[in-house]
Amino acid sequence: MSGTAGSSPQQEVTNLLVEWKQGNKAAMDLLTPLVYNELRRLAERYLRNERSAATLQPTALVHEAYLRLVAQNMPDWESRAHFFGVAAHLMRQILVDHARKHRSAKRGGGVEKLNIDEIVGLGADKPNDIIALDDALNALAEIDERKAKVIELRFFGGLSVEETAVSLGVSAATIGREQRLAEAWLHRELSNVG
Amino acid sequence: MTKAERWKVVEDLFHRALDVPEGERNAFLEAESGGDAEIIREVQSLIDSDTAASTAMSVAAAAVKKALATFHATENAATAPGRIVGRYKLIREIGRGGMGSVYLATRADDSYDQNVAIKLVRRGMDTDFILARFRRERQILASLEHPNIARLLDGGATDDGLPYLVMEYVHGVTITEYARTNDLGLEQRLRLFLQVCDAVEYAHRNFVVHRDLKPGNILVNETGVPKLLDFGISKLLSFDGNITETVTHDVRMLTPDYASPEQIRGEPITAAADVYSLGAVLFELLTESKAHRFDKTTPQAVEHAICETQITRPSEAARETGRQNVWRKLQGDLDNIVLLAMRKEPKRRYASVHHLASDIRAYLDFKPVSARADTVAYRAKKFVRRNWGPVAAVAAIIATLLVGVWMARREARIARMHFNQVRQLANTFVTGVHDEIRNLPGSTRARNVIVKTGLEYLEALAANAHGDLDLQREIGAGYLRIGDVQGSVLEANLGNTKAALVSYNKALTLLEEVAQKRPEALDVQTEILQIHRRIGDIYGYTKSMDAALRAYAHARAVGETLLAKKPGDANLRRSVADLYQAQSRTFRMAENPEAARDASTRAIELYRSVLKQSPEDTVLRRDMASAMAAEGMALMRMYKREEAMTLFHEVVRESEFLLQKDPQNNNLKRSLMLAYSHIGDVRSQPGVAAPSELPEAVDAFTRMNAIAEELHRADRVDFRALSDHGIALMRLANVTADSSLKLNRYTEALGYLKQAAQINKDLMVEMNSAFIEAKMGDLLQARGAKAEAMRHYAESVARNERILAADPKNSSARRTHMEALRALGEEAARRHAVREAADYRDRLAKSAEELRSQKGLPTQVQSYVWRAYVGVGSISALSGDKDVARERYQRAVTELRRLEPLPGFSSRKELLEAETLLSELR
Repeated sequence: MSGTAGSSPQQEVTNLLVEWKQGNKAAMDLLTPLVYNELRRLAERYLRNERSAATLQPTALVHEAYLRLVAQNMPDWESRAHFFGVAAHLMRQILVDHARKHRSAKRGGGVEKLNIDEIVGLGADKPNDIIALDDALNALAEIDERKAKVIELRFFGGLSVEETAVSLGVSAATIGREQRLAEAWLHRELSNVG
Repeated sequence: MTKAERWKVVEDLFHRALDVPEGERNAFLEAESGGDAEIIREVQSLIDSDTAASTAMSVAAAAVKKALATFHATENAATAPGRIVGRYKLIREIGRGGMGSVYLATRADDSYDQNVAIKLVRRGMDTDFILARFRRERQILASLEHPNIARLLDGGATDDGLPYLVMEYVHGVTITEYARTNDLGLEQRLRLFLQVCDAVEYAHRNFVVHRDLKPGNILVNETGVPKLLDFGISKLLSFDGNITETVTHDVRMLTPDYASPEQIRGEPITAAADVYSLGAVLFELLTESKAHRFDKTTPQAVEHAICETQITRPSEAARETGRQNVWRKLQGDLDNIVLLAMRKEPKRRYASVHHLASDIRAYLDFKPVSARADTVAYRAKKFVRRNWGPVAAVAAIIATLLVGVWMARREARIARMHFNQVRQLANTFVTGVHDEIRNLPGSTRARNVIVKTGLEYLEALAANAHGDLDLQREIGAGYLRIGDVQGSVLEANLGNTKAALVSYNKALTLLEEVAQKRPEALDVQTEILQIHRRIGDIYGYTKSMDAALRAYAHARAVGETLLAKKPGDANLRRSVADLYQAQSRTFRMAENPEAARDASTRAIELYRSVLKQSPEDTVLRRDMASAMAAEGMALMRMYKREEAMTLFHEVVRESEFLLQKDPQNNNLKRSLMLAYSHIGDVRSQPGVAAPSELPEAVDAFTRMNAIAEELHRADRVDFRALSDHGIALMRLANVTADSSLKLNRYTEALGYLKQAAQINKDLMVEMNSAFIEAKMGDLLQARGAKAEAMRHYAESVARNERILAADPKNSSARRTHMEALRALGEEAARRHAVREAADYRDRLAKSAEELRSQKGLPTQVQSYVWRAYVGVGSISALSGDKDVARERYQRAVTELRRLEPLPGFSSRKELLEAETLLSELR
């Protein structure tokens, strides 16, 4: 690997992003725990305010992570967009993997005392399943990759419409339209699955 | 219409239809789609879903939200109080870090009431490299056993595979809090701190740097014993080059109050970082305020404060916080001690924690401390640091000299003078040397005083020695001892080896005169033999091969003469055989394999003759095996490969036989390892080994590596074990086909070599590191990781330049040097970095000319010169300088064609490349 031991963590993350951009898959593996930690904090904070929060806003945390980890070294928009893209994708992956493991543990007869739905106060309707969402997003990506990316950035990365627009290099109005269609599409797919 | 085109139509209609009042949509769609029923149905279903979506929470948002809740709940369940981990039950979380948490736990079976701390990797953190790091922490902790370091008790993995460590639970408060709440006095604080130093020093001796020393990691338990915790980001010294090192620890874990400037700047970390952090802790312990004051907490402000701003003197800080009774005591020595520990430049701090602790002890004992504000102390420190060595060695030398002096007493006049000399020496020893040693452990100054005193003494004696053969002999022996002190005990550098040669030559002059007048005194001859041998060793060490070979030739003449006079002296036979072995090694390094083979043959003959008398002598058998190995190496270089193999196989059998008798003998294991190494070398000999031989090479290097690994495991911090393992892995990597595996092996090998280099600066280690860097450059370049490849090439070049500065005739360093320069130059030219490319090209040309100017180069080495010409040509071609390129290619082709083909070696490949490039240019 490159001889960057001893660099500050900020520098490390920046290096990792640069390397990842250049196609080093191992860098992704190194970034995962950082994002994972953010996700954990996000879950905690989000759930504390769950009842008052009307919409999902993981944004704050990704922003915070970005500011702490990368901004000082790479303040340009390109890296910022890139970072959000990576973070959103990782969050999606982690949540889906986690749900998969969780589900198989349940099936495998592992002890499961907590009724998640009760805790969170959500209906147990199947279309809310993250795995189904993931599958649907993959299907959407096959038809229209950018729309799947919009959903990923907006809901997993928690980016605003404007940020998503910059990230993908299109206008905010386009993002609004794309998201609307994507959501309709996902909704239809997930209802059918039910 | 393709699928994508249909989707475009659907998308367009969807948005436009939404603007149409609901009642008119059907008609709108009918008209716009041209009556395509499928498209109408598709758009309609999407619009229906859109309506649904606007009334409820977005499906995507709801799914993510639910997933987060599930995530959170199961995460918590995994570490909830009461959970059983191994034989322990978690009680509560007591700390949280980047990759896991620490829990207070107790024995689950209640067999006895013992609280422990369990460090558990969090789910999701169990990526390969975090697990590797966790394993390393476990390994590091397992190797540390010290009363002031929290002990590792146990470790394992949970049912779902997450690793954990069980550690001694320290029920206590931070060191600073302890001092404050118990209102400790200055001396008590210092004594408490000394225990911490002791623990850190112990860790350093085990090559572990803590890297995160702060009050939060130094707890004092209920009985007042400080304990060092959390080696979570500690690392083995010199084990750098590994990107996973620092990235995994959370940014929040960086503790700016105690972090050294080099840590903040992201520079390489050594034990000096811990010295700095200890200084910062001491500052706080003495003043009850922190060493740095950060006006702002932005990284830039923090970096500025730590790296640029002068630290307030502790006495000043104490005065400002109103600790009136303390600040006066801090003025002077304690101020100096803290500030010396906290110097910005790592090299200007205390050389080690030991030195810091010694100064604190000196302060407590009212003795002068070494820390001074002035630059004289700074220079002295640097001097001492450069020449650190054990006190014991110095003491032994003094003792030897004194004994020599006493024994030399013969006649009264001389005896009287001796008495005075001895007294003088004793005085110097007590007043000068002894104090020096006490204040500066292992200092060179002390040794210099001894050597200087010894030389003065010998010169004074020599002036009175004319005609007194006994005394002359005595003085000669004295010079021999002084020479040993100068040449072998001191870290060998040019100044010292030169001085040693002067002493040896003085000894030689004196003893040769004695020998001439007393030809019957054979023991004088034996001493002369030893001196020649040592002179040869020193020249060999400083790579003056010709001078070394001359000295060995003298030694050999004396040795053979002696052997003729004392044919039955087994010890003499052995020492002459040893001499031939040294000579063989030097011939080999001087690239004269024929002479090396002859010397080894004679060595084997001598060993064998002694072995007849004592066939059970295992040391002798081992010496003989290494002589056979040396002969094999010479034969291999003469391309008599099968003869060499016969010898190597015999060495394997002999080593295995000896190992059976003495299975724990590491030297024998190493002999076996080397034998496998030679076998692998023959089977992968560049230019001559057939592809069909490769599996045998892989097998031999695999065996070699297995033994090296075993030896390394037995002693993790032994220089030779580390470098052997690195070199074995490198050889294995050389013959590894799979490029990922190859890269991993090189990376691991480089890690060990760097660790070894930290312990001992060694040319071989440096050479192999340079070689690996170049190979990694090749591999990474082939994979397209250009930037990384260039970093490795540049590192290789830098290392080789250091080697070549010390040893300009080192042909393998020269070759790697030139190859890496070529790669760098070509890459720069491709990037259109014109100047950079020109710079590399010129350096390559210069290196080639240096090699060309050397006389008597073997054919193979000569071909490197012309290879370099091809490289210069290729960089020029890529830079658009076709004329130079053509000229260089042409020259290379001409010269390579002219080279005599050796048995087993041909420059066909080089020639082919030069010709191809030349024709491409046309």
